[in-house]
Amino acid sequence: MARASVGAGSGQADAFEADALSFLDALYRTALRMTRSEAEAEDLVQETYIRAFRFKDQFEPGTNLKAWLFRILTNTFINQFRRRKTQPQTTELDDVDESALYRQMTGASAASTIGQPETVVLDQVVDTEVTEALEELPERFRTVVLLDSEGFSYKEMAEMLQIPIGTVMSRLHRGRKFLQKRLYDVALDRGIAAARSMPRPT
Amino acid sequence: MSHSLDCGDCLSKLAEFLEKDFDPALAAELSAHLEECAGCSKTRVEDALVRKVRDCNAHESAPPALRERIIERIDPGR
Repeated sequence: MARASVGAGSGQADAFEADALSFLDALYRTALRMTRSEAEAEDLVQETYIRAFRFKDQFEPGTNLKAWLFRILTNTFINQFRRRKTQPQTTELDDVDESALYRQMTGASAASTIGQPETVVLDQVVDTEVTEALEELPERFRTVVLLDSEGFSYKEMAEMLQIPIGTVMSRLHRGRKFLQKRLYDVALDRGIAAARSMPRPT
Repeated sequence: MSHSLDCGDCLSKLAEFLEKDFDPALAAELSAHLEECAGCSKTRVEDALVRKVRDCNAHESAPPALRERIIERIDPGR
């Protein structure tokens, strides 16, 4: 608790500031996908930094600063931004049972993606298509998929989101299946996956 | 609860878990292990899909004005 409080303008404070700012792009791109709005992403990131500096004495030097900042980001998002009116979809989904939602998301055709050479499909879809699929993903699934892509372990995500690891893993599983299906459908629409999957060697 | 996962199998089991249909028993086994084992708690799957998500976001960078605004707020004396 009572760690050495750093005097204003000391080298240590500057180092914290520089370290913290080195994660600005990572926080911003995650915020952008979470809020799906540039203006809200900027507000969210700014609020994250204001809080981080207000509570910087609570950061234990030597521990993972990126994880600490992302924890503030996700908390701020959950407590403030999620309630904003620009997120109608999310509030609706809050009451839905996760497994029912999963069935609804993946549907019967989910099975058709199984056995597809995933990399073949993934190689064909472009970044904007991935972004669109990602933004369609319900918030709780999107969050873990995004944090995963930032390199956090499942345990770190569990601590960050204050949920059990098992919940992180089930959300990640479902989020990934949703994405895979969407991306597969995108590829299928363009005739790519169908063409590539025809000469299936046995 | 008696069977504990072998650390050597952790990564391959995780990959199997993510790839196949949702398996609650495997999820429970893996999450219990990741919770308790300090060595494996950092284990994660980094596959083509994870890289694809990262790549689609990689070009996004914070607007310079945002950086300036943040610095102004956290370090007004500068």
